[in-house]
Amino acid sequence: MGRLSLGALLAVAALTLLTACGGGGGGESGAVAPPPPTGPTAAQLESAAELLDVTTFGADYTLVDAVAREGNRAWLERQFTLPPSDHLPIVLRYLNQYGYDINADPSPGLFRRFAWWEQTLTAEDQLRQRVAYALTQIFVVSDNVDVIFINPLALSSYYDMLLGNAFGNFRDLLRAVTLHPVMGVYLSHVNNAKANPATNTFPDENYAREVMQLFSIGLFELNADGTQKRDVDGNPIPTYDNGDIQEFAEIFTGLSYGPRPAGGASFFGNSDPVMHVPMRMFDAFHQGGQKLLLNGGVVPAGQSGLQDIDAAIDNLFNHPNVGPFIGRLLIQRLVTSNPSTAYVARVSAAFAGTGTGAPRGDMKAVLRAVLLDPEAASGIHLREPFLRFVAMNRILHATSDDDTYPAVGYIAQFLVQQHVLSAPSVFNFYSPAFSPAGELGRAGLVSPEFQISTDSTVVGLADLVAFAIYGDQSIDTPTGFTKIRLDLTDLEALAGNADALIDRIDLLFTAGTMDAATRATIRGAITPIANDAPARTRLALYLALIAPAYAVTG
Amino acid sequence: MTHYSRRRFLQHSAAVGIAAATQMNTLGRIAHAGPTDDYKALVCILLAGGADSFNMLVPYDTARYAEYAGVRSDLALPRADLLPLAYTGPSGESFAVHPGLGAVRTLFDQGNLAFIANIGTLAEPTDKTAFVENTARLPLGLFSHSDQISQWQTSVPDRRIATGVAGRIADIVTASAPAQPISMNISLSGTNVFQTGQVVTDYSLDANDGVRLVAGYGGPGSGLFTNALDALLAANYADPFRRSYAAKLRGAIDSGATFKAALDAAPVLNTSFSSTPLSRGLAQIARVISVRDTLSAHRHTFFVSLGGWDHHDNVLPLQAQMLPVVAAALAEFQQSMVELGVSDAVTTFTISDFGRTLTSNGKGSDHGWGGHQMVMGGAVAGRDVYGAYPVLIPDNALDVGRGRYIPTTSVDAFYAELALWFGIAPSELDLVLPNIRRFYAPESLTSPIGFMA
Repeated sequence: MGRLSLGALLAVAALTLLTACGGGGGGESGAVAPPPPTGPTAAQLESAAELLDVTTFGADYTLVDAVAREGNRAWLERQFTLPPSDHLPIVLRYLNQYGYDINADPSPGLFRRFAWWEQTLTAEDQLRQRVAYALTQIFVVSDNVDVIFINPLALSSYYDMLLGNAFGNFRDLLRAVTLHPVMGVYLSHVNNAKANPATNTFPDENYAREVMQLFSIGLFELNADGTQKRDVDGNPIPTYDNGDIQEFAEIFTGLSYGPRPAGGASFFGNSDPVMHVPMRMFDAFHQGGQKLLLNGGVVPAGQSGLQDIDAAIDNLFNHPNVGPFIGRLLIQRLVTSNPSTAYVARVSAAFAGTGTGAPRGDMKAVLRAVLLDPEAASGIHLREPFLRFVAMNRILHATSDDDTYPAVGYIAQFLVQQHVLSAPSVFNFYSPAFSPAGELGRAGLVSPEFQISTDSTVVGLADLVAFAIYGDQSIDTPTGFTKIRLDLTDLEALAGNADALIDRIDLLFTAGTMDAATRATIRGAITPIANDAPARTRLALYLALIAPAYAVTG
Repeated sequence: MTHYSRRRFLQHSAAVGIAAATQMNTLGRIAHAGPTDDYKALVCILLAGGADSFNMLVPYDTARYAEYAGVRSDLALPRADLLPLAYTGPSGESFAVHPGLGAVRTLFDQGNLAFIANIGTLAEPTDKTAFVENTARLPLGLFSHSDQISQWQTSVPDRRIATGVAGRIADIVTASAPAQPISMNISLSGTNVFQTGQVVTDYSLDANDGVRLVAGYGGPGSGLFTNALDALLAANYADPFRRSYAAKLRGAIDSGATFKAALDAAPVLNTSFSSTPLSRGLAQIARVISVRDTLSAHRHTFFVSLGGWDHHDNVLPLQAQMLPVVAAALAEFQQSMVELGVSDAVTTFTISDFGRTLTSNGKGSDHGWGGHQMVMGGAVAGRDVYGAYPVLIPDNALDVGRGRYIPTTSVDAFYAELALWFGIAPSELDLVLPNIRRFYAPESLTSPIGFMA
């Protein structure tokens, strides 16, 4: 009996493994059929798995095999052509079915989580979904703000905006982020009025600061390779000062919620949030007059509010920092924590359009540079705990009886302190510059993901893996909704041969890079379990998925 | 550091620089003390949801009770049901507590508990004119749960930041004090912003099961798994990321085992705790405190949350059910601290998202701002009501709508009082409470509020 049931969430910590009992099929006698002569080679499979590891939320054997046959580059280019699998339609499906009563249990606010899990587990446009996920950790908003949480349309609309712009141009992406009402709420530039001398009030500076610091250019002037420029005294050169922030704050005045698609009032100061249509400019509340932008840019007096915003977006978009700043963040989110300066420079060049034939800011050109760089193959970063959980569910065929995925993910969030679009602040779950104490810090290496690897969460991650593998559901769903379970039959069919089982786990999770010692340890642990394919499979998975070999990419 | 945000950079620099900047004075106060003669703990009880505290501490003298009854209308508690406190204010005013808070009255009358009246999140001292004319800096997301519950923990209401008061305190303390094998910030309610610092994060303990362990590790019949995981964590990996991760997980398992062994050897207390979640959480905290020497702990902060206080409906029957649970848990915990001989070293306090509207919505009360909190322990100058209890008349000078009161005591001043007692130097207060100078001058010779006499 390799299964355990969970009484309650908190029972996770009390799980015990019963691995030595008999029962079930399998056994050492099961021989593995040789691969068909026309199939891809092991090297082709591993190369495909390696690409899929960073371009999807996890690939099962069918997908790895298909990409190995199609070729990495061809698959990637085809991904660029797939239309987005939007999340909002799924939210609307649930709202149709269950109504929109914010006092209902479960809260309709959770429908956006249902939609995220459904598309993430099933959508074919995996690269687009995965890039949108990376963008949520740059353009951070979060459901830890009530008005964002309770509105089921808010974060799905925001995610769809990221999906729609993921393969477009960075300028359009930055503009869409700026005008999205969820960002307006999160960084308080919705209902941000022009200065009022009579009451001595001034425009809110929150968005003006963060759009520069976090979403476009960063704090210091950069060279194209990501290194800091220095002044004559050897000091880093700030990209802006507080005066610049005040000028940009004037630009971002006059925005309020747009009209509901069904009609209704739209006015400045509206406190009834419309979270799924772009914010609307109310010029009467926009700060008039000339504004000074960065690098000598000037917004003339007399323009409309949206003309001002477009001018400011252009000013930031054309700042030489954007390529290295955003490029390095994307490299870190997708490939490696400590890219070389040459790698950053190649991505910066792609952003600038140098040699790509694409215009400045073309996201496809940037993503090709990030994903196909010669350094990408040896990229090393600590896997995000939440992405490990997602990959486990995708690779191990998380399914439900009715093909819906009403997943909440609170157990993961409780145990590993991470869930998509639920960061504790605009500074994301971790800093891109976090350098952990110990060997990595002494070597001058950064590892952002280590910032949320505490005593509690590293143990919690192991418990989360055990919960999914040994429990009767792999992602928590609300009471009354269908359960989501892993389907391990593919692996159990291989379990009679320990090496075949480990080979397959290695291919799917570690792209064939699992070291010999880890393989030997897992083999040694499952070999004594005779004639119990489910128990063998589960123990092998549990060990492989909490092993240091899998915790780190590359 | 290239991409460090300015705020985080400054905070990080501050945290890292603390060892050099403050080592001497902090060392002088904490490190040189022996294991038992210098121990202090702060216990934060979060009443999540925004407790209607104007029905917890109620005016009792006839004139002021009449005002209370008038403004609260159908939410007013009958005067005959209230439990009067052995305290008379400077103007002759008297107070009572909710009938469900009998044990709190006892603690108060014994001098082990005090109230802080009309306290709340403030970005700067704020009056009604400034509020109405929109000239005051206000807390972000005022009246909303998520922001207010967070700001009570960060004490930085004008920014959405990810570090909290106890986290920043722990960054300072652990930069100079001898190492403790387990984080000095221990949560019974999972990770929380209150205990998150730049360097220090909380160690999560379960109210029921205690230490979180790797499922199956070391359990009966799990030798294959346990031995294999030990081998995986002992292997010598080629890259420093895997070596670091292996060390991290190994360390977490070992410190969990250390913690569990210490707790398993904890003395059985004579104090009996109720079976409610809050009492169980406080009982775990008492167990940890009882093994502080085994854990080499000089300082602890604890965090435990009890939800369900968002009483838009049924505030009267629900408070009647829930407040006795809080009162019993407080009394049990205080008794256990006396039993352990650390009553003077452990200070417990409540926080909550906000107070609620004085006026009724016909069923309950809605989100407000200022409210009342309790602070308990042998070091508390108890049997007192600190701060300024508002005059409960409609549209008073603090009322910004429906009896939402602008706080007259800031969360910053409250935490400053606790931090100074805990051993934070006045010169370090700016690091713990970045906005403190808007409310209190750390160089001042008077205490911020005075409840830790």
